[in-house]
Amino acid sequence: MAAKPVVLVVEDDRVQSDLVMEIIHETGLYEAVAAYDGEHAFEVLKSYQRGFNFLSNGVSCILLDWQMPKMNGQAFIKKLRTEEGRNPFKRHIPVVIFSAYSDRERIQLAQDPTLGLASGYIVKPFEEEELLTLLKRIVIHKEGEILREILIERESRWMRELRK
Amino acid sequence: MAGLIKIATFPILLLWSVAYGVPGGIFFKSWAVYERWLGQNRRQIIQWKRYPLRSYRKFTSAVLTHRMRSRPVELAGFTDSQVQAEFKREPFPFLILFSNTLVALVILPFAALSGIVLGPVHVFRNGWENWHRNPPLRAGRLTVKR
Repeated sequence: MAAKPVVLVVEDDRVQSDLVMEIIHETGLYEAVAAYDGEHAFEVLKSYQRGFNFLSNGVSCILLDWQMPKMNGQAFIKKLRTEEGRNPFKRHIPVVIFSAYSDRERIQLAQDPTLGLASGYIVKPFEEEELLTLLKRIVIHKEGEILREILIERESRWMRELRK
Repeated sequence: MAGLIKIATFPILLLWSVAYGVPGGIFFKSWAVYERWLGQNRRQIIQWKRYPLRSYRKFTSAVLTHRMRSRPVELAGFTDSQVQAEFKREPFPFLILFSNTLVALVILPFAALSGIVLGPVHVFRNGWENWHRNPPLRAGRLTVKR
């Protein structure tokens, strides 16, 4: 039997982390792994390295909380992409940002160039269906890179409309 | 004693790094090129199949850019609608898949060469780090066995 794709949940709030893990486990399609801050997430990613770290990581998707102690979401995603950029043959791990932001925070996030490094974002509190649909598109259908481009276009369009 | 063991194991680790690292490095680097090729082609096909409108827009805009290249905008005489009228549908991206394959074949020997160097480095570094990380544990295990 083929191994299930691994989804890494990086969330400092244990209650929320457990909830998301449970939602993912219940589908029976994925294996969920938890990390409680950015540094911990890097340790977990290290344990999923493949082929001398020349090959793409064994983690298929990262669900990333934006507000975290030690290393926050922004610092984490920047470091992750810098490390991935050192090996041009490696596939970038798709990242989905969790954020409980208001409109003001959304503007800040849209202006932040690190948003373009993610494949999607989910606003807390979110619907179970929304999370699973996004996961299915990224992990099963492997649309992470296309979704990343769409996210950039959507946010820049939203920003242009907001400025009018 | 521990120092002596380290000195004795150094050449073994070095030999192991070369014996395992060189073929491993070649194999994994080549596999990485294959994974990259597969990922790029899959992305093109998914975009063509599941996002046809988006893919079509990209295609017509690429055709327009190609035709207008090195011509002044006033003399080019091409518009987006003209290109869209000419190409009602986007053809299957055979050309892109073919050029991806060519690029993969060109970079494959270079990737394998880099694997010859980087493979042993990776194996040696990992082995050395593991050795230094767990010396008390190793010593403890030895004591228990005795």
